[in-house]
Amino acid sequence: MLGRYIPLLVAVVIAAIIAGAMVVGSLILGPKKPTRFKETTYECGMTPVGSARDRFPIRFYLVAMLFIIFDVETVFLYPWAVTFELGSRAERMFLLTEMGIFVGILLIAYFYVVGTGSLEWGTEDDASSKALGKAKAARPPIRFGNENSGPVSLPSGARKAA
Amino acid sequence: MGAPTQAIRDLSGILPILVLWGVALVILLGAPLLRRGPGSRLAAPLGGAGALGALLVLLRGSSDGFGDTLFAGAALTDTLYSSGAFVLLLGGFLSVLVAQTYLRSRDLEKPEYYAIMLLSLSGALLMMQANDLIVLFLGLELMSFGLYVLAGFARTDAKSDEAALKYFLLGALASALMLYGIMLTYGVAASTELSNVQSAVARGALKEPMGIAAALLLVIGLCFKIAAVPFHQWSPDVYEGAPTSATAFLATTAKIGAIVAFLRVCDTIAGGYHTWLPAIRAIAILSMIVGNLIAIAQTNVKRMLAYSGVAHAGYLLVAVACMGFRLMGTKGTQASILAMTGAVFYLLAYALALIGAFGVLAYLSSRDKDAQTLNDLRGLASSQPAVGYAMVLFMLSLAGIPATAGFIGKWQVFYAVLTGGDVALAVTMALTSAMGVYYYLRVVWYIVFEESAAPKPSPTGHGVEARPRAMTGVGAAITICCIATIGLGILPAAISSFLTVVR
Amino acid sequence: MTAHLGTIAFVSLTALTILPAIMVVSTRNLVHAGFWMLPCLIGVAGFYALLEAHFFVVVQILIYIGAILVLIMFALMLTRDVMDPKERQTNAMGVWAGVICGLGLLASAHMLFRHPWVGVTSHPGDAHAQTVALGKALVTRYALPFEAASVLLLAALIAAIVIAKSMRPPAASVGCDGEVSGG
Repeated sequence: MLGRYIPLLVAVVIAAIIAGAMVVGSLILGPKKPTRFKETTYECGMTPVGSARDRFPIRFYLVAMLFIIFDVETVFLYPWAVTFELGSRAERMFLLTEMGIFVGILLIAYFYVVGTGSLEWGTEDDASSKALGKAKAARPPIRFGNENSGPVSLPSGARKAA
Repeated sequence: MGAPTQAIRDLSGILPILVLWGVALVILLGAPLLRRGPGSRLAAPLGGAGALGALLVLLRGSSDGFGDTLFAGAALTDTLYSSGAFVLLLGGFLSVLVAQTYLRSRDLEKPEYYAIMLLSLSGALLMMQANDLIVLFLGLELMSFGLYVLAGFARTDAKSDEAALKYFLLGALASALMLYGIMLTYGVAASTELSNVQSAVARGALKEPMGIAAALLLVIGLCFKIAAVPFHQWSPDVYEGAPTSATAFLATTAKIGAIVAFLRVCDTIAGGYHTWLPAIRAIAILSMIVGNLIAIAQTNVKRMLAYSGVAHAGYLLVAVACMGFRLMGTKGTQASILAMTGAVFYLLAYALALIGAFGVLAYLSSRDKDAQTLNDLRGLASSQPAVGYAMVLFMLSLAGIPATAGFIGKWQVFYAVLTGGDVALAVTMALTSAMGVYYYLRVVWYIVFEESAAPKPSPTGHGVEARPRAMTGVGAAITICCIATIGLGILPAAISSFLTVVR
Repeated sequence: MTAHLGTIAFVSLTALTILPAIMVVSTRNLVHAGFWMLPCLIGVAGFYALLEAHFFVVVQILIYIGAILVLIMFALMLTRDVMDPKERQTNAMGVWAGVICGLGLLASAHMLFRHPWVGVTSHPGDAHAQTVALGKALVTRYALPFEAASVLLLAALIAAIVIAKSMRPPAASVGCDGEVSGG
């Protein structure tokens, strides 16, 4: 009964151990020499714009809602597919019709979403893009502590090692 | 084998629902065209055609298969369904007419409004046809989703947003309670199909704690939907905040759908009446008293109609209580059938008067001004006599004055409960109805005897723009409601062929 | 041995569900409350596994953790001052609500333990058989609710779009606080 979940449990435990070991290990072993540059949020090498703790545009909500709708549809598809496999030819036609109606209705929902432009970002998004511009203009200059250091010249020993 | 004929029989049994779904999908597919430009004039006619089409399909349908179940026991068709559906779809059509004018004058019109209305109506129909608690729940949700959105349709209006949020949160709570009740029902009956529930009740399922809890949770869930005390707190805010046309729609649709489902559920569990009948009687009495008392204090007509709706929920629950008499001898059986017919007629009268009353408010609203308070109605009989006297008629019908449809409905329910021998309920109903007359007549007083407060800017209006609206949707709706209210008040037998519930 | 394993699994799943649930309703930071739902929902999935409702384990993870939790997080991010930990989640009625909920819990626990469930088998069969039975029921006995569910999803989708779609024309006024999210 529960036996089939034991491999899953083992995988979860191993993942937890590995992840935990990485975090704890770097906490213990890593040297800590904080500078302002290191303390800033890491944004793929870009300088951060504004605070990350900002309100999201409501479009994200719409996308998540769409995702849920079609996610639920998938859940209905799964047991249907398992049953479909077992049916005779006549039954399969019947099953196909039923699922066709089900999916068809949701397809119309999709056409509606696309037709009304609910997924279009940018055209109507002036409000939020202006807000982003404002945040960009108002951001304080971030100083990383290396502005006045000039080009870095490596010592000759380091060059040899490389 | 007969599978195709069975499928055709099943589908023809739910033909009104299919019509509603079809038209709703057409509106949605056409939404980009219907949004602006010349196409925007087509949205309301399409919505009206959907409701009217479903009504015609319902009336044309044969009653051959009545009493049979459809879709392997998921749904059924019977006279309770067909008469309830008649009232519902008529109310839906009238609501489309009101919405057409009101939304346009408030600059709120979008094709989605009508699609949502039709989907909501289909949910209510599904609720009425349900022969399985799962289907009933799905119908309830489908109906409610639409009503939540319609309540919040005026998105720039904070009150409308508040209405939608309140309605949604309390509605979700009610749905959760009801779902819990359905689960417990499965626990005692091992099925959610009504016939199996009925036999489980006959075996004494409602004597066990789980059965009692299941019955009470189902009752609470449905009482939320019809706004019966003490589950009525959402209703005044929702009625007030929702756009007037949406208020008219949600007030009637939710009540018709939930009461018909309520009648069916209580009819099913009549065998265990000792469990739920005291609860329903208490809720009915409380609703009649509290609703009528608080309505007296209101100056906002929409809020007043909300509390009066609470009182009407109480009167309708009297009819629901009669279901409990079914197994108490011949008198009781007779009372339960009389109560079903009476409740459906009551719902028809209520829907006509309520949609008419909200229609008058919608008629008086313009882009800048949403007519809601008693002051907005001041002196209406002299400034706009036709509309003014129509409102007077609707108030009289809601109060249950003789020669209006409201009186006949109330009398039928009253007669049913007397036949059942429940004097306490009958007396409460009579006394509270008398109490209710006061606040309905106050509206009449404002319309007929008060002088119009605002200086008259034009020969026709009192601050309202002088656009002739008699020929628009809302004018038609008010006219139909007027004629039907008087006609049914004088000749109730005219419609009895559609509305009599038989067993 | 197996019985012990079951008990251990039950107790740890209970802890995994209830402790985060308490955090959800007590932590002052709304986003943290949202994240605390994750272990709670995983715990519920674990209960489904314990009850051998294998299909629902997948559904729980796919829908609740994969989609609904994300939606909840997005909804939380729509609110103002989302990271402001000054908000309290309870008010003066909180104690009474807790008492009432506790009583309801005790009553339903009592009821569920005392009452034998009619027609419930202790061994529901293996995962495949369950899913087949579910699929069969969905397309025969519950064909009407199945199609109605699709319409329900459609209604929910339109509802979300009507409520949430940005309706301001491009030349909208900016500056008022609440308008960044598109109203």
